[in-house]
Amino acid sequence: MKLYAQIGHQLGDKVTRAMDEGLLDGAIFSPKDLQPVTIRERVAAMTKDYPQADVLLDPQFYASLFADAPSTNVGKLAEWAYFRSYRKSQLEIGATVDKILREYFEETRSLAVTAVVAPNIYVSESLDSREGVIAKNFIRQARAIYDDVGDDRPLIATVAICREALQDRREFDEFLNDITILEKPPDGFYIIIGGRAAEVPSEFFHTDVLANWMLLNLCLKVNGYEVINGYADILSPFLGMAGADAGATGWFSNLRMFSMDRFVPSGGGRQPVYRYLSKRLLNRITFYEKDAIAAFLPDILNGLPHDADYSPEPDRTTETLQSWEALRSLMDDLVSGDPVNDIAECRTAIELAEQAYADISAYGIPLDARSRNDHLFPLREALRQFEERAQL
Amino acid sequence: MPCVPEAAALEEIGEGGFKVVYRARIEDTVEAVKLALIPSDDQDEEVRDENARRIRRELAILRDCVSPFLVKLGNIEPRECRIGNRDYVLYSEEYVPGESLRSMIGRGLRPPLRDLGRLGFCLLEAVRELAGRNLIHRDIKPDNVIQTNREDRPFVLLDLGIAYHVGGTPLTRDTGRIPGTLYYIAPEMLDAGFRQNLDYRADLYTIGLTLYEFGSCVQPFARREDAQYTTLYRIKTQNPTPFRELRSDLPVDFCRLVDQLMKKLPALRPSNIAGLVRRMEGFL
Repeated sequence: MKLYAQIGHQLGDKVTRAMDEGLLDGAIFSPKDLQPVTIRERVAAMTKDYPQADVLLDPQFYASLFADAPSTNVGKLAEWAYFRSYRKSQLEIGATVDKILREYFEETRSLAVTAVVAPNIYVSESLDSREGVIAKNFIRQARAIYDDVGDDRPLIATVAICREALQDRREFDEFLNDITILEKPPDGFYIIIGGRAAEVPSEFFHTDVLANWMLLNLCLKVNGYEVINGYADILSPFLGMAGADAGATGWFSNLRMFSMDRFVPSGGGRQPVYRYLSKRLLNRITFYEKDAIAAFLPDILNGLPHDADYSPEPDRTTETLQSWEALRSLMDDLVSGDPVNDIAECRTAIELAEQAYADISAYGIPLDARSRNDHLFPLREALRQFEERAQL
Repeated sequence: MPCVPEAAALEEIGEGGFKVVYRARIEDTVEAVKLALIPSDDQDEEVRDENARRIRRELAILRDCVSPFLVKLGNIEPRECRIGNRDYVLYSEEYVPGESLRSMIGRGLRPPLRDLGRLGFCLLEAVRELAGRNLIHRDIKPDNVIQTNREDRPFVLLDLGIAYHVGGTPLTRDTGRIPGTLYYIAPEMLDAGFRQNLDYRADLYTIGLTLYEFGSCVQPFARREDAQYTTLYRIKTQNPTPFRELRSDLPVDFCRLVDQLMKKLPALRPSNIAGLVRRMEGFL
């Protein structure tokens, strides 16, 4: 399984350092955060310097339905010709969808990406809705327009949906059935699942959401697609167990988990405390908690090279590198390509995390709200539900 | 017994559902003469005419099919006839000599990988042709597959009597009746409004089920003592025993493919028929 950097602003040299260290397999650029000229330069440099890397551009067209709202900040997306504000009524017309796809493919044709991610809207409510129909039309039409433009790089369709849309089983199953039997299929799918706020982990750690996100990966993989999960972060290995080829994550919370809040101006606030991603806990704990817990439970340390950056204290870059390193290692541990074997590995990892949290509790070590074990129960239940739904 | 002037030595060889089948000599060949009941509605004369047109239209589509693994239409052009107070479409198909899979299962055979691979290949090729014409067979089962002694068409799929034309109109207006054979109904056909979503993956499911039963002599959903509702519930919810547990002598990849075709959710069945055919070829 591959790990990609989800690139936002404050890029710095994190990604190149991680590429040099073999922690990353590629990157997904966001036009919102970087000038078009910068993206073109960075993409070209990355494909030249790292010829094995997968370099993608997320069109972020999903902001188009919200772009005319006063509270929306589309950033540098507005500098791309393909991007503008649309209404649903416009996108219900097939010719408009075709035109958007064509404009995007033509504008990005000279971009040195290794595969082309097609634009799509964000389904913010039910899959059985106007938005659901429009989103499926983008997926259905992408291949024909792409072939017409004459690009021969792999084509990746976007599926960007809110977490609530995964909770209606009938609608979700119908959506799955529709997108796995396309007349002119793309080569792969770029999946984004959005919550109401990227800051709230419980938004994503919901049994039905996780189970169906896994099922979406498996169905697409069974049908021969390459499956890339944007903003998957710690869920990446669990999605890899279900068939994903790649997961992506970045350095800010809004690059780890997706929310349309990403297009709302930031309210500012304090810099977050440094955190350490513990493989054993399947979670990030604060820099201070790490030392306090490790004194009693050294198993919560990963024993990987970037652990050294935490003595005495990391910076933002090394914190990010530590995250990627831990994720890369978790993926290697949990994802072998055999779902039946991998689901057992994932279950064991969750059990070990539960045991570690029980030990932390027994030692009476207090934890910050985001460091606690709230993610484990839904993750374990999601595995069970996924196993049942996938008939594994 | 129908009056069929062009047929000699008419002999009934089967009956079921909406159809009676006779073996007969027509010119110099032996063919299967079929009488397909035209569903009608006493309250609405247009229903009968519409259904007769549909049967003839679907037979016309079948006449265009070129797959050697699908039964061919015979020398009797479809025509309407009345027997008693019922209307039928009369036509003929080739008579395929050989043994049905049902009969072979009854003998408790455990076919080798090569036969299973060839069966999968033939059925997938047949479904590929039907799917290309927007048809879903809906009744693939061991009773409707003949093993011949010909290398070029080792298995032939019969009986397209309840084939469903995607985008067509239903043959029967009885909304409470599920077309098909109880143990071989794809799970998605048990959903309300299945006609909105049905596609050829229902046939992929029954191909998997036919391979499973032919390979193991086990029908995973059949229990003689069960009520129909219980069987349907089992089809919808119960996982069959993994094929590998019944045929540990076969390659793991083949067993997994059979299991994958039988998944309840159509999206979990590989939908690329050309790719499936290639995988089956790998087992020959």
